[in-house]
Amino acid sequence: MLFNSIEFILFFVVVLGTIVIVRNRSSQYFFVLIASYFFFYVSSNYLLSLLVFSTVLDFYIAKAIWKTKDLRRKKILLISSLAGNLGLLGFFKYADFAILQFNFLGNSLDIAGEIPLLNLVLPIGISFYTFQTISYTVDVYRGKLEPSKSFKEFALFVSFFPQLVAGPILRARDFLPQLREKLDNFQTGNKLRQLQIHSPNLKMGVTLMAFGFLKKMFFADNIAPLVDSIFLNPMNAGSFEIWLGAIAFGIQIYGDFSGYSDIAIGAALILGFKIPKNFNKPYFAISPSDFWRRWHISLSSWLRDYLYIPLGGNKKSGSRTFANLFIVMFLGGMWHGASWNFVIWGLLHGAYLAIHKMLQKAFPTLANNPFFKSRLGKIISILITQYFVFLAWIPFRVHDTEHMLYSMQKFVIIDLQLDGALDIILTHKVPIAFMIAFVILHFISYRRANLIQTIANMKLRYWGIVLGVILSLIIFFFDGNPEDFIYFRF
Amino acid sequence: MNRKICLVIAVVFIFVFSGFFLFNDAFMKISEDKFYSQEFDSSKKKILIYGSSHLLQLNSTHIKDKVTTVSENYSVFNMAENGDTPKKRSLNIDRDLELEPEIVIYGVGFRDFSLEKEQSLQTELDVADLIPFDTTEVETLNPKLTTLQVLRSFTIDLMKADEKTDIPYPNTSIFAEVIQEKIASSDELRKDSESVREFIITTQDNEQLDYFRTIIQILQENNVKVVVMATPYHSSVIEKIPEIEKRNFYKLLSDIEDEFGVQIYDYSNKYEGLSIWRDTSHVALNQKSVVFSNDFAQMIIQEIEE
Repeated sequence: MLFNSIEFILFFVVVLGTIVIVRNRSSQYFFVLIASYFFFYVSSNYLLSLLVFSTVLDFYIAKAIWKTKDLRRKKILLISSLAGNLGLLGFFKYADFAILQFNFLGNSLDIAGEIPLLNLVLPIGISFYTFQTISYTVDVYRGKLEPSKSFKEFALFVSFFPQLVAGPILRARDFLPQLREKLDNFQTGNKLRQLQIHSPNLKMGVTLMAFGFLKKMFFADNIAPLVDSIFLNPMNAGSFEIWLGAIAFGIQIYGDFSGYSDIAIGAALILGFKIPKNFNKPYFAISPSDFWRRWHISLSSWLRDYLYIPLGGNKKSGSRTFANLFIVMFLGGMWHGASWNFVIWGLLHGAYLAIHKMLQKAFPTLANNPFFKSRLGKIISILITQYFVFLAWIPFRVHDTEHMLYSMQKFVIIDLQLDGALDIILTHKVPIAFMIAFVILHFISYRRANLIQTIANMKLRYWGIVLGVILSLIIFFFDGNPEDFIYFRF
Repeated sequence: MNRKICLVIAVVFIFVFSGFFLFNDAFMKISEDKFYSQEFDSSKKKILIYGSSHLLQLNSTHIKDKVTTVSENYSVFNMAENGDTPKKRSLNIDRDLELEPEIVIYGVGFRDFSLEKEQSLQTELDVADLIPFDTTEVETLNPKLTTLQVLRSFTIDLMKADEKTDIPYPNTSIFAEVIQEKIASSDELRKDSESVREFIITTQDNEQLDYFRTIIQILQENNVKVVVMATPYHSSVIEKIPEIEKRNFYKLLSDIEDEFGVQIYDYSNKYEGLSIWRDTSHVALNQKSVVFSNDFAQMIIQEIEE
């Protein structure tokens, strides 16, 4: 069930309606849990069993970890949780990729016979919910989180439908306390919180969802044809086309993914749950590390807390820090999919982060240089950072190695081959107009950090007008075919 | 307060959707009329070509010229569309019948009747079935197309621009079809064949086949002669399709032949080894590839003469 479908809108209205009618707290949570499983079942069929397996595994292992005082036993339990979750993820997501590599190696060593591919179907959302359950068990192991006493509540944390299939990746310590009544700002009681739809949450949630749909259906889906036409076969394309394609894809993937995140955060907020934001104007990042503080925040912070820091982070030698960055970004790339192009994307970002760290080390005063604090300095920093970010989008989008290398070469070594430029502009006037509109809107939201909040706080009639404009833009430029979200594949 | 917010949301939805349907009713008709009022001589007998992108690049002017040498009484219109399926085609069949065609040549390939692999995971429960109203009509709408057509006509009027400088074929689709003239090298074809998905063709419980049958039946009931052709593929695709799927496809065509008495022309491996391909499933549109349009014209002539 896609967010951008009439089915989801009806499903969501039914969920909200039921929550309003059913007043019993326990029944409310039970209903949301069943609704989440239904949501998952519609798109995943029998693969729902994997979600249930992951939930059961971590619920009981975390409990056992919490109970035992024996450190060795704790470790064994943690390892078994990791093995279960990563085993599942590895088998379904990477088995065929591994077989391909074995076969390739076998062929190059002239070994007869090939291992047949398993042709497994990739379970939707598996990368997201396994990371959620892993973080829960690790937090319990570290003593930072008390395990959930109720299976129903834990199951709801793992399967909460707004963010189930494409994040943001939730942390149990952020989500589980929200199921309980608040005693004060820091403590929660034992009683379940009544699910209620509060007016400010409803307005803010609907505004966020509207912006999410706008980003996805108005911008991303309308820019996609330009990206497809350029990268379907980029051979012989000039630098202008490649640059245009890379920028268009950067906008498309941002609109697609941050749009999904906005819809998820908005839907959760209407239900009374706060999910941390996943994007913060990434195309205004002034350095590679700043980019990762703004792009897919829930993944980058997960990788930082559960991988980079346990590996030693930047607390060890310089070379170890660089190695850690490469390992983390390599695995971050692999997380996106079992394909070398994602590995290249991850390693490129690893290299950017490492080089940025090296420069910071070599020129410690550079960051505080008044020039880089000035407006011009910031603009230059943004442009340099984004040049590398958009370069890295090429391997993310172009899967064919020859096409990818050609496109990257044309992106870096600029030619003046402009004969196809006018053609592509004339053929794709509409997507290019959407790109310009996106840049303007992105800039406005950068200058006015709380644009969505400002709109949500408007008087009802003005808010209604803004909502009407957004809805009109979406509907009038919808081509009749709801497109998948790119991150559903991960 | 919640009620007020819900009321505002409801009003916005009603307002925007009403506006949209009014707009659509007012403008879509115009654009459709334009599309179907291409400059043809209504006294001539019309031959329509149905199918997907495999036939999109047939040179219909060339075909028409060839056909005209035999009989000046015929016009040929290529109505193939990117990503066409029998289901999609069935939605427009009534409008096509208004053109009173004499012959319809329907090109189908392996893809048209195949269930893609991912679809095999689909649940038996289709949420769309739970919606208590018929969504078929809504599903056929393409608001973007109507909006862009209106915007285009508005800006052209506004600027008094010469349409011909911008749009080569007035009154046809506003999206410029990318005409693929380039013939792919064998290396490019090899690479392209790697991305060919596995075909799963079933002869029973196949929704597309049901729509295909319905289209033929409706056309025949309206005295339109139907001819079916299997579209051509490059050898790398033919080799990749499992034997059982090929058998299923040809069985399906022979069943159609028996059931409706239509003539079947098999082009599926006619050009498999020729160097005329844009990619493994599409013949390029250029002088070297004109053999496809020539053969197609010959097929029409044969049908006319029968």
